[in-house]
Formats: sequence, C-alpha cells, structure tokens
Amino acid sequence: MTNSTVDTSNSTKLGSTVLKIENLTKRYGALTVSDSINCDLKQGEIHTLIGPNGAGKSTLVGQIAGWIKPDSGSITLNGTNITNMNVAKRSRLGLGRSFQVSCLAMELSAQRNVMLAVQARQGSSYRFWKPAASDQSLIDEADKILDRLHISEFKDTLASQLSHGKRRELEVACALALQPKVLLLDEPMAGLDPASTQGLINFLQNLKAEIPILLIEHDMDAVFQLSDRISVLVYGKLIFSGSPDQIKASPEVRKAYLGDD
Amino acid sequence: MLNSTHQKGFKEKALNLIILGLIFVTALVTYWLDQGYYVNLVSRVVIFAIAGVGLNLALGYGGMVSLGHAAFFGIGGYIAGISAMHFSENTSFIAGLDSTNQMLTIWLFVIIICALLALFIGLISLRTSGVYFIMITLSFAQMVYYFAISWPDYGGEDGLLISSRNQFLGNDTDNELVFFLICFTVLLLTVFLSSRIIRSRFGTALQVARMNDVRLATVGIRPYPIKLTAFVISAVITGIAGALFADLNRFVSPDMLSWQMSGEIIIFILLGGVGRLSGPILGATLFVLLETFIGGYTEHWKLFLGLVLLIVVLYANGGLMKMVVGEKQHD
Repeated sequence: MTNSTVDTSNSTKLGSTVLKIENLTKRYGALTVSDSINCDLKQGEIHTLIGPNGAGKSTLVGQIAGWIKPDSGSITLNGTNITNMNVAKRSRLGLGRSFQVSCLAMELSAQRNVMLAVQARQGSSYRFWKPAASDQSLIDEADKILDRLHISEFKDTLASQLSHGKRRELEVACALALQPKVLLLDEPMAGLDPASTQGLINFLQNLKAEIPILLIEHDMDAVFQLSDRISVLVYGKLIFSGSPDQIKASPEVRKAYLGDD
Repeated sequence: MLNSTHQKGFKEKALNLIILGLIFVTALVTYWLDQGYYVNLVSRVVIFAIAGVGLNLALGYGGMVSLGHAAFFGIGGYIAGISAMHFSENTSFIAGLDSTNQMLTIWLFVIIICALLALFIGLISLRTSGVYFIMITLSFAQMVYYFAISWPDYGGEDGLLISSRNQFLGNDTDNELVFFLICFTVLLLTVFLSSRIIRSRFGTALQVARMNDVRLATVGIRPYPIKLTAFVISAVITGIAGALFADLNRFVSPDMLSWQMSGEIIIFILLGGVGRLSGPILGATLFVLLETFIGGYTEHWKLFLGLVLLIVVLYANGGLMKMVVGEKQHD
C-alpha cells in the first residue's frame, strides 16, 4: 500500500495514459515469460497485443489482472500503483476484464450474472436482509447493459446453457457493469460466428471512446479493423509496437509472427 | 419453462411448511398423549436441524465442507452446562462473572464465543480449500475436544451433568412441551434468518464464491471475507443448537465435540439435500427416526444409516429434497 500514489488529475483527458506497464518481468525457472515489458494504454484507444502461441500473452494478462505476481516491474492504473493489489481491489479501481475461457457463475441466469457485477460496483455485498433477485436497482441497470450488448432475450437463460459466443458477450456485459476505467479483453472473438464477430467489432469500436481497451486477439481481421496500436509479443518480449499499417509493413513482425511468405 | 420454475419454487416452499407443520403437530400430539419421551425426541430432531441449518450456510451455500462444526456445537453445550453448574453451586463464572441460568444470557455468551472462535478458525482454514479445509477444520475441532477431555473442573472425559435445565424467562423448561416450543422457535428463526441471508446480496456473493470464486473476485468482491462472514454466522447457529442440546439431555460431554458429531451434522445435510433450506430438517428427522427405531432393534443401526446414505448419495445426489421437489432453483 505504501507505494501507491494517486494522480487522477488528467486521467480522463483524451490521449492521457490510463494503464501503464513498466519493466514487467516474470520468470518461471529458467524461462522468462515476461521480459521487461513496457506498454501502455491511452484514453480513447484500442491497443492490441498479438503474438504466437506461447509468447506469454496469458501470463501478461494474469499479471495485469492480479492472478500472477510479477518478479519485478510495476503496473499503474490511473496513476495508482496496483502491482501488489489483489484481484478484487483492481476490479474496484476500474479494471474490467473478460476471460479466454468463460468464467461465469454458470448456475445463475445471464441477468443474475450482470446483477452480481452491478451489486459489486455499488459496493454493497454485506447486506444480509433484502432479496437481491427482486432488487429493482440491480435489475434495471443489468437490463440496460444486456440490452446494450443485444443479449436481452437470453437474460433468463442460465449461463451454463448459453452458447459459447453468448457467454463471451455476457462476460463483456459483466465487465461493463463495473463501469471500468479500462477493459482488458482476452480473445473475446474466439469461437464467435462471423456475424457475432462483426457485431462485437462494431460494439467495441463504439465503446473505445468511452473506455479504452487492451485487447488480446488472434483474429487478424478484427485486430486490423479495431486497433489504434498493435504490439507484438514474442518469447516474452515486446518486439514491436506501432499502428496497424506499420505492423503490416514491418519485416521483423512478418518474420516473427505473420510468416515470411 | 419459467412457469415450471415457479411451480417448483412453490412446491419447495410448500414442502418447507409441511415439514415444519408435521414436526409441530407431532410434538403436540405426543405431548397430549402424555408421551414425554417422544416430545423430547422431536426436540432432538429440531436441535439437530438447527445445527444442520447452521452448517448448511457454510457447506451448502458457501461450499465450505467443515468437519469441525462439532467444536461449535460442543462449546455451545459446554457454555450451557458450565453456567448451569455454577448457578446450582452458587459460584461465580470464570473471571468473577456472576453465573446465570437464563438461556437468553447464555446464548449471548454462546454467540460471542462461537463467533470469536469461528473467526480465528476461519481466518486460518479459509486460506486453504478442498481436502485441506476439511482437515484443518477437523484438527481445530480435535484440539477443542482434547482440551475438554483434559479439563477436570468441568468433568473431563466423564462430561458434566446439568442438575436442572437453564431457564427461559419465567417458563418451566422442565416441561417437555415448553422446551420443545423454545427449540422450535429457535429453528423457525434460524430457518427464516438463513432464507433471508441466502437471497440477500451477501447470499448471492456467498453462492458465487462457491460456484466460481474467480468470477466473484473479477467483479471486485473478495471471496475470503465473504466466506469468513458466512463461516462465523454458521458457527454461531450451530453453537446455539449445542446449548439447547445440553439442556435437552441435562448433560454435556466431549462426545458433543467429537469428529463423529461433526460428521453427523454433515450427514443431516447430505440426507436432506445440500444447499436446500429444509434439507437439514428432513435429514435430521430421518437420522433420528433411524437412530430410534432401528436403534431399538440393534445397536448396529448405523449400518442401515450407511446404506440409506449410500442410496441417497448414489441415486438422489441432492438428497431427499431432490427426490421430492426436484432440482434446486436459483431465483
């Protein structure tokens, strides 16, 4: 707690840095999975991380979200050093995320999943008396968000019975319910059909002005459509960072990632 | 689909009322027939049910399989027993406190002491999960058990006789029906309390902690303090049941603290239905019926208990509640 400094004076200005990762290093034995990574996310942008399998993207996401402790380096959210904070606290500070593998309360309906996030944002989970399921303040806000993602028709469906794609969207809905300052989306397009993918692309395109997004994605069409900046992670190192056009033109990136041909 | 969900919810509520009604009527009828023994038997069911409702909050809703709840059950019992002893000897309680034989005051002690102990045990145990959680809660309970055995002032291994039951305001607690009514009221209160807790915001968080604690942390709610709070509430309810149990039997012994006792409270829940409001009540009823009627023929009645448990777990994984009203519903 001692190393956290708060400086939110210019955090909402367009182009100001919201999330900052500095010299982040993580080793598993002899393997360096994050090799002094420097990376940031600015207000109003989508910054995409790409890289081949095993490049260390998931480990990086884990460190940003708080599940994995880095060996050194720091992560700053809106001027607050969050490197040593637990997962829940980071979420409360404004880090919203979706998972590579769906992570929902499967026995609850879509609506109840979003209502849980709304409840968490309201900071009111130590109320023991009033029934949560019929709490209008939770229902209204959850319905609005479900509507925004066009999944209202599934609101009474149990998360376990939703299709893979709908779960993805539901996760984004839960993240949005937190009214986050930053969205960390880990392969949100994986497993979506083309129509849903395009729908989600349009949605994120509109969302980025409101909430900047750090995106991990494999679908290159989506990446090039969405990204303002792209960074390439290979063997734990960020080898290149630039606009989509610069990425396409870079011989290094072609060699390491897109393939030589 | 939605309609059948509501119907099932209604069916479960109806069943809850029927079970409580049957217990009440059985006590009244047996009392009217002057069968004090059977009234006490119903009180035994009710007390076990309270203990089970308490544990169900941790085990059923929070997914914390505590094999140490006998510690709270027994401590509740010992507090009742020790108070009664000091009161009858007209000596002062530990630390010069005046002794009392008023149940309400005793229960207040039970609540405070069980809450503090559960806070301590929970703080350590909840750092683990699964099998490790089971073993740690078991070890804490065993410590309390051996502590009680080695404390001769309060009967040690032989236990402690309660010469006359503690009092509830001005009522004659030696009357079987009066005592039953006290237990039954406590059961109603705990069932009502836990039904509110389960459906509250806290209850939602608790159940998501069981289903998927990663999800809970991701929305910004730390699972650990949520589970700890539920563990403490759960322990307190089980502790009150213990205080009633000691008064019912006019006797408290280390048996109440043993790991077999912890196991039995788990069995009430497994038989009746994990995470179902009336599960522990049904389970405790079946347990006492087997104990009394098959136990009347053979001391090996637990063989039959084992068989019944096996059948329930294999063919109705979800207990009697699932057999009667079907799958659990989340509203």
